[in-house]
Amino acid sequence: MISVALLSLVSLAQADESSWSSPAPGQFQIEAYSGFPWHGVKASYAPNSEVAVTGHIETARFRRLEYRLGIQKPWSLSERWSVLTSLSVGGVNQWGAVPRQGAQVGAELTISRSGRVEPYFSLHDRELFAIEAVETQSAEGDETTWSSTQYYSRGGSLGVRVPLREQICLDIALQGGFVDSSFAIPSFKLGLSWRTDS
Amino acid sequence: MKRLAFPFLLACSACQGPDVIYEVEYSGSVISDQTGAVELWFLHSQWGDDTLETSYMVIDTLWIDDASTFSGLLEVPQGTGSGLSVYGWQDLNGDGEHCRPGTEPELAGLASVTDYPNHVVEVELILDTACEGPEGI
Repeated sequence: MISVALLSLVSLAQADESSWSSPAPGQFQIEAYSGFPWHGVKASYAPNSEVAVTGHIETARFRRLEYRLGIQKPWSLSERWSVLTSLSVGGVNQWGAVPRQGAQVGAELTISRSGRVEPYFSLHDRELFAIEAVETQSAEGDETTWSSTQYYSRGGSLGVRVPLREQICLDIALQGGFVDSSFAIPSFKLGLSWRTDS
Repeated sequence: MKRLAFPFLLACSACQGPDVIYEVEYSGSVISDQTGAVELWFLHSQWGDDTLETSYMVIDTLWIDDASTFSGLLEVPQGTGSGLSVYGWQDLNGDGEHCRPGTEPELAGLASVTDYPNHVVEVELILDTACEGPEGI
């Protein structure tokens, strides 16, 4: 059902619109999104045509916080098809029954087709170097020990961006994969992007 | 690069406090008029918040050969737990199960560790109730 809806939207893609996957040179772009379980804000700025810098903060039900700074580079495959590669570095904090904290590095690859409706597919790999501290309180005194464990978050997104106006775009996506080396239930998001004039 | 990496890792990890473990050196005795191995359960008397609050959350277990003395070191995770209790049941028929249907009743008992929180505690556990879990005693 969802696939049919996405394909229907893809078939509408006709206009020669610029891609919403990355801002054009001199543009600032910001996206706010919400869904289950992720909510977040992503901002990007392209100082030139080669790269864009990004800042991204998102939370899963306000129990897990991820924040990252990154750099992304668009690659043109053809007039309509393009690939976006991204590298990021940031951190994770998670509270509750399974607390987690540490630094995270990530890479993402997105392929998209520009048009009135812009379908895209992305794959990501994020490696979390979780730091765990245990304070042992004994009769001899307190002692804190530190350890590190590496977790991977790998998955993909399938979505569409629908430009509503010249500077506003709707983003609908399904996401799935692994979070902290464990399979996570698929998620969905609904986002709204705004960008400045070129 | 390494100079930058350490403050960054510290910033990412300093927001949350460490998991706290409270070490307890315990010793005690099990009193029963029957013969058989005894399984001891060391329990948080209360655990969890709000709707997840529950009684008698298991921390660790220990088998001893008979109703006699025991001792050891217990690592009690701190957090939403409070109180320390010890539950025990005696395996009178040697089947490894407590009061399996069709078998003779087996004794159980529960003791609240009144010394806790303290790094050294003593427990006396009396097994005088048949076929009950910690909630039923």
